[in-house]
Amino acid sequence: MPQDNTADTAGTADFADFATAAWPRLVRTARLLTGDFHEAEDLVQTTLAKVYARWRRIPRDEVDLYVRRALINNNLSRLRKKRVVHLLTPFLPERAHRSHAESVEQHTVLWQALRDLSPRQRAVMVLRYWEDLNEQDIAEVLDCSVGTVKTHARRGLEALRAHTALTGHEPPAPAAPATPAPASPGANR
Amino acid sequence: MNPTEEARLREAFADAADGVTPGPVPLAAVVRSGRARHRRRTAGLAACCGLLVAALAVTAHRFVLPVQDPPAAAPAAPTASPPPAPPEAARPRIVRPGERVRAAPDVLLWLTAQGKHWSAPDGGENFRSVTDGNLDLASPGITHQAEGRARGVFHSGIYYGTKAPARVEIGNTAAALLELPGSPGWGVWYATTPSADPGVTLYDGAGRVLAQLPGRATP
Repeated sequence: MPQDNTADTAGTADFADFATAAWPRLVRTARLLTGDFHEAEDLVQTTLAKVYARWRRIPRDEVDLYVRRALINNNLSRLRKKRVVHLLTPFLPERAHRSHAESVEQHTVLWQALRDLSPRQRAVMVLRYWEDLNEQDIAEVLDCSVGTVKTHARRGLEALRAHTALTGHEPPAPAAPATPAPASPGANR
Repeated sequence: MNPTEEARLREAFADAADGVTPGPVPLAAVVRSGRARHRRRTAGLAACCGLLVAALAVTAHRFVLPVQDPPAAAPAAPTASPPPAPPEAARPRIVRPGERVRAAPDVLLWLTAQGKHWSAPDGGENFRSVTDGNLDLASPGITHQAEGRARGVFHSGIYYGTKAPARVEIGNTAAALLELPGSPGWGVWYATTPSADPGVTLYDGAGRVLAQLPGRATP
């Protein structure tokens, strides 16, 4: 039917504009979620295909929320299906500024830190510090309460703080005496 | 969290993310995959609607036809419809609650105190209750659910209102019978036949018709 074809063509063009604009950022977000560039591209491609299948039903002012939610859920689903526990392997980005030793070290530390988080904690950290969403928006994306987001954020942050290169935050020292210990060896048992 | 710590984290995330240079969006592949996904979903919805219509048609057939032809559906009197030959008594197989019985190559069937459960080819589960009040367990009766398969039609149902069922026939095929221990007054029958709706009859040990559902082809 000509009308359907016209609508379909218009919808595809509309979607193409959106996908082209959103692709780079989505891949970067997925890269942080998955820890692997190729997994990231696959994840975004799958997500966009699902979005396209429902494109005409998604309110235009909710597209960003819908896509973020789909990306997070698809990643969680992917992890469940593949039972992947080691995707976030530390690696040195091929295009990273290898001449900047500090930057490379920081990347490595970040991947190690993210690898230690649960998938939902990782999602909260990525949405917070990369996508720059507030707790309310993160709760909408994850379809959970703000309290749950706060819990994930607190635990995720505690884990990241263990890596001082990331936060500059010194981890709490093991129980130390309130007063300087005497020099005498054996006095501090 | 202090602002310095937050700023360092944002910088670390941005730095790591910006270390990636995405290639061009694979738009053609995305659209192709999205269209296939849309078609599959539409086909799935159509299949579900078809099954729903078929189920409604079968249900309507069960309830409407007896009104038009009460003698055919009512529990038959001993002399109303003598079978051509006395049916052979086949005692129901007693199964434990939840015990899976392979009723057809792709169907598992099991009983609980709540009713009849059977698996669908897609891994789903179907259920027909004996406790939801829709069956009058005080008088003999029989239900029928039919599902088309690649090879034949799988029929199953609940017979009830008797502690001495002897035989269920669907068309000319004798159905297998399952019951829970303790003669609860109901059980499950099943069979696979070539035709969709041949009519079902429940007999007692003396060959008397206890309940009957007419087949679609029954004159």
